[in-house]
Amino acid sequence: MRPITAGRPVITAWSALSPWGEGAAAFREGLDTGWEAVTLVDSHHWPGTPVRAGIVPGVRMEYAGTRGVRSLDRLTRLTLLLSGLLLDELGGSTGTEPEDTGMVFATSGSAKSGLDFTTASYAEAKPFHVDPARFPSTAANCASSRSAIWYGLKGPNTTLTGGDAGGLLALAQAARLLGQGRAEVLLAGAGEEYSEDRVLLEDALHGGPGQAPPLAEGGALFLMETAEGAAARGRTPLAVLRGSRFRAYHRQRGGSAAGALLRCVTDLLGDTGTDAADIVLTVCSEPAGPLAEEEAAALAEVFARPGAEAGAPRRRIALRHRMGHGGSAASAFQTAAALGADGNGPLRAPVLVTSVEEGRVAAVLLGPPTD
Amino acid sequence: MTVGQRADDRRVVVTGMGAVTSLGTGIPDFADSLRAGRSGIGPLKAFDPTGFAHGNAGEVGDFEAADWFRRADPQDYGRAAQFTVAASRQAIQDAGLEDGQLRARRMLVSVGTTDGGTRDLDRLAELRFTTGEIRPDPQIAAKTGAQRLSDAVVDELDLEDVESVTVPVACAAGNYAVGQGVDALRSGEYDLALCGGADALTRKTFAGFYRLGAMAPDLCRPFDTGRAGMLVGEGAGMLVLETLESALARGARIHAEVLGYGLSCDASHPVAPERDGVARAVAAAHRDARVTGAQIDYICAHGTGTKANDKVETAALRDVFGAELPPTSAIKSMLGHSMGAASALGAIACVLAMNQRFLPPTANHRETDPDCAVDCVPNVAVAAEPVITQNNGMAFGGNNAVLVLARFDLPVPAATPQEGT
Repeated sequence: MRPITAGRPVITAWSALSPWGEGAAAFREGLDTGWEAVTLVDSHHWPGTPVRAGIVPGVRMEYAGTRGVRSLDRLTRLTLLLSGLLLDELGGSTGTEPEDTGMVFATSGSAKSGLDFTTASYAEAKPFHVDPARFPSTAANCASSRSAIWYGLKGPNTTLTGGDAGGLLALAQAARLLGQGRAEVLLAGAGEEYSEDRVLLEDALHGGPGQAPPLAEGGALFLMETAEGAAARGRTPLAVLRGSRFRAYHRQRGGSAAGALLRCVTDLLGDTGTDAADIVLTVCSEPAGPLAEEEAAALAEVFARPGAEAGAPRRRIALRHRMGHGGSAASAFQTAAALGADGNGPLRAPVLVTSVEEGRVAAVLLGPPTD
Repeated sequence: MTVGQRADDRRVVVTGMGAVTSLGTGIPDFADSLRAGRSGIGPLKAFDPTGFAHGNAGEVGDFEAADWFRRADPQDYGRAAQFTVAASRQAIQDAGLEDGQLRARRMLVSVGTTDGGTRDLDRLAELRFTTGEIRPDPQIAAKTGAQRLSDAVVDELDLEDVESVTVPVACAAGNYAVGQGVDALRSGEYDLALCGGADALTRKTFAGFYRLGAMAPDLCRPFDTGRAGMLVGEGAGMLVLETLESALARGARIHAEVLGYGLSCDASHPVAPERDGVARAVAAAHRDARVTGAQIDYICAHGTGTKANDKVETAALRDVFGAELPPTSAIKSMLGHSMGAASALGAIACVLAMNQRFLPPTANHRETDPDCAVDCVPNVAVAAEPVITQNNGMAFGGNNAVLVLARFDLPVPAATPQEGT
């Protein structure tokens, strides 16, 4: 990667809406206490049968009762709330013109909205007796574009889908948009909703009923701008986005998650001129099943390499066992943890975020703003 | 063509294209159909349209996924992902790239879509309704994720050093994906990207647009006084994007240059387009491409044929271009609205127009509506030499993306001095 000479992308604020509650403070508290936020929720399809999930507690209802918002699905409501929480961190405004303010949001969308809409087409008297107000929710860009409407964000508004790495893909794409001057500031991150339909789809992919890990909902958003822009607006960066790398692997052709992640992180360190010995913290993805061991093995090798003490244990944290699996939001939660693990000030040393799932790995390196 | 103040490693060119459309699969068929003003519209076959008063659509006929898959198993993927692979296979062959060469490169694969794997999500809804089985069939469930579109390409091409992303920004998604490719190449992270869009026709989207009253009963007539709406369609368009430096280094045939693009969000209404938002995307594209409206020779309109779209789009174009608009046609009149594929196919149509020296027509045209009075190239393609072209994409949620492309003519080498002269 060519060195970035101008317009370094920085994160100046963040917020989260997670099973730990609303806002960055609740997220940091969850992180500090290690509180397990996975709870039992009643099954919609089989009442009386509990399902384990990480649910955002008490989604505020002012977003639910307003005219024109009643028909919004849960993903969109959560995203509206999450965007508002980030803007609250900034005193209600990004301090930029609406045309220069945008959003890059990763999500897998609302499977429930799509299923319900099509089911109505079969179940109602006529196949077109569907609720037109719910049609936009069946497209994955609904959450982000509704946030734009709600908060007047008229700049680039992009939705991405890329599995668990979604939150990291959003950071990478936001950095590119900033680098090309397409926006002054971007709300970048990821989010998902909990629905039993999402559970059933994940179960089907994991071998049957009850086989999928508990799912989490909510998300995290980061205010991204260039270092120069942040300075001009009087904001102190919390971190620099040093770089990102993404890889695929094909197990049926001999590939492995461990091999892919090792290469991915090695490339990222090379791109950014970072010595692994300088990294103080890794926030790993802790995927379900044997993949977690592959992630751990790759990281052990990364940190065994530098000249320091061979195989020295590095500080590593994971969230999934405490809040459930966030899908696209998982890597956004991890990024929030990277920023929130040591208080609410700027990073003091580089932090690595890794994402591992079947077929795909990703890594992002955040550095202190003094970079 | 002199545009680039940008260095060669920041200029983005198109070196490969592939298309799956209701007008034919493969660039030659697509180009011939555009030039001939053919219609890809016919009675809906994707599902039983009983209960709908009308059901015309632009469906892809006679598509055999197995014709395009060499390595991955087409049964692992839904129809939209299969279209994506077919268009990608064409594009990399067109670019003169071998699988081995691709695997050695660091790449971005970005695929725009509206519905992603909804064709299979619809199937699950149908099975729920007809059988009462709530739990999804695992083989169908595996095809429902939108990310399966880009992942199918990665699987088929056996890519490893790749950023695989699907861009579900509804009906402008193809332009978003190409734009992501432009930025990824300009940033220096990549020198090769495979970008475009794909969608398969779904009952969900048909029922939704029908319910909104946005669907024409028979034909799609953009810019016409009697226009009655859009027709849903499907397909895929994929483009190999490359830095000029990379393309020249490997002696690639260069189809066109992507001069730039622009994004905006209306931030006003969930489904209705807004004039100011669209105009901002057009102006942003012109700024990024370093062109003025006067330099643009042809516009491939979003042109859905709904009352609202054509009027708002034309007004927005006039806000930026002033009174003089270049010829502005709507290929959705022939293709139907192929959703996430639409603006990718529009971009390809622009490249074909520039290289094959014609303007694609607006089919089914009878009388131009004064509310959207453009030279829509009615019914018959026109011989022309467009050098710079613009491709519009507008989506639900007010997500707008506009692309500017230019014919790429290599500089003529200086004449070698003749001996004795």
